[in-house]
Amino acid sequence: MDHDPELLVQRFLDGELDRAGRRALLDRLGRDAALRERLLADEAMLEAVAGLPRLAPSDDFVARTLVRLADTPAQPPEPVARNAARPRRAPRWLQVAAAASLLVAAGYWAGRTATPPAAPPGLVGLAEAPVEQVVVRLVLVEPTARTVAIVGDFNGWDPMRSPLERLNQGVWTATLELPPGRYHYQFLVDGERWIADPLAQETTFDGFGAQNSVLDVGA
Amino acid sequence: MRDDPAVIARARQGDHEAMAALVAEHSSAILTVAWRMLGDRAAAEDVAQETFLAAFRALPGFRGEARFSTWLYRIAVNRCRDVLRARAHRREIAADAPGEDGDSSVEPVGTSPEHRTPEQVLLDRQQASQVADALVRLQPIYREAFVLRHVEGLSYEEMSEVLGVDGGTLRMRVYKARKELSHELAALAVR
Repeated sequence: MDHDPELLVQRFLDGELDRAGRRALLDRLGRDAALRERLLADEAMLEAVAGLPRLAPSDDFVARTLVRLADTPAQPPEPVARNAARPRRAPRWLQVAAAASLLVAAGYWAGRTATPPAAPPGLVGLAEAPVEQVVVRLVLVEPTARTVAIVGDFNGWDPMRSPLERLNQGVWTATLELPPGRYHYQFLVDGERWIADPLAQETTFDGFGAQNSVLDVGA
Repeated sequence: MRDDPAVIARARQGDHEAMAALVAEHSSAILTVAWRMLGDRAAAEDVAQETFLAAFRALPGFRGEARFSTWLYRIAVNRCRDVLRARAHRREIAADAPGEDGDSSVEPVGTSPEHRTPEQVLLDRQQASQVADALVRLQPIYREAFVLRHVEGLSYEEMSEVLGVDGGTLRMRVYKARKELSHELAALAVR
């Protein structure tokens, strides 16, 4: 048990002190007036924070939210069935080209950046220190699509964050900078059709009947 | 916040009644987090709405491994970060802190206005304003950790799911936030 007084106070405030820790803290407080002052200041501050008002929704908040939802592109009521979820097949040569593009891109961007311009908005917090980033390129062949976005763990499953760019002949691509890790994701086509990545090496079920692709970004 | 798998499943089917129930259940928590993060009620409402819209659009991708409420917090925190980044980009300092909202309808939780003198009401309001202002002045990474821990009462494990940061780092962020707030509020004699 670490009896560093500062640590004891912090564990106390977090409600994480065991009996021995509480005894050590009480013993310390009895002898250390400055520590007592600090603990009292922390407690007073937390009490003041606990007294802050909460923000209740306005009467029409629910209605306005649902109206905005209705104004946005419709979502299929159920994740598209696996067969229907398959993207329209491009000519074989195009699939091969896309796959080759993916492999080439993966090979080309195997390097890492030590000081990324910004942390991805999904899992990673506002970085306190440079986080190693791996550049990943994803490719989807969807010749008839008007828009394609990638949504996944790395962007909070937000369709607005990572749109793919259309290249020639229906090939869509996005380049992401991600910290090493294992991510689940799907493509969202035309704002309404969710599909797993046909080029992903691994897929998994999401627990709700849909299929996610898995992206393993190596450390 | 309570997670009801049946309601979530119905919302996933596009059932607007279920969606409305989810918004009603979770809106106060999401609004409060956004308010404390942004110090601005109007921005908080925008963020809360966008959080629910993003969540409903992405429900097919919701894996159910995390709690729905945790997932909402994560989306909301990310939205708040976007707003804060945009503000920083515009070099705008949030001038619309909670205490300056001029909203006299909001009372501190657990108090009863009729049992307080007008002087006490004013004092409480001034104190709440000072606390909220001090909160908004924290660095965002400390603020979001502190808000989730001490305003929303999340465990470090839940916070780790929301923020994607390990518990040790979160404890350090909360510690720094507490230290800074205590120091600032002690100087203002909010005790």
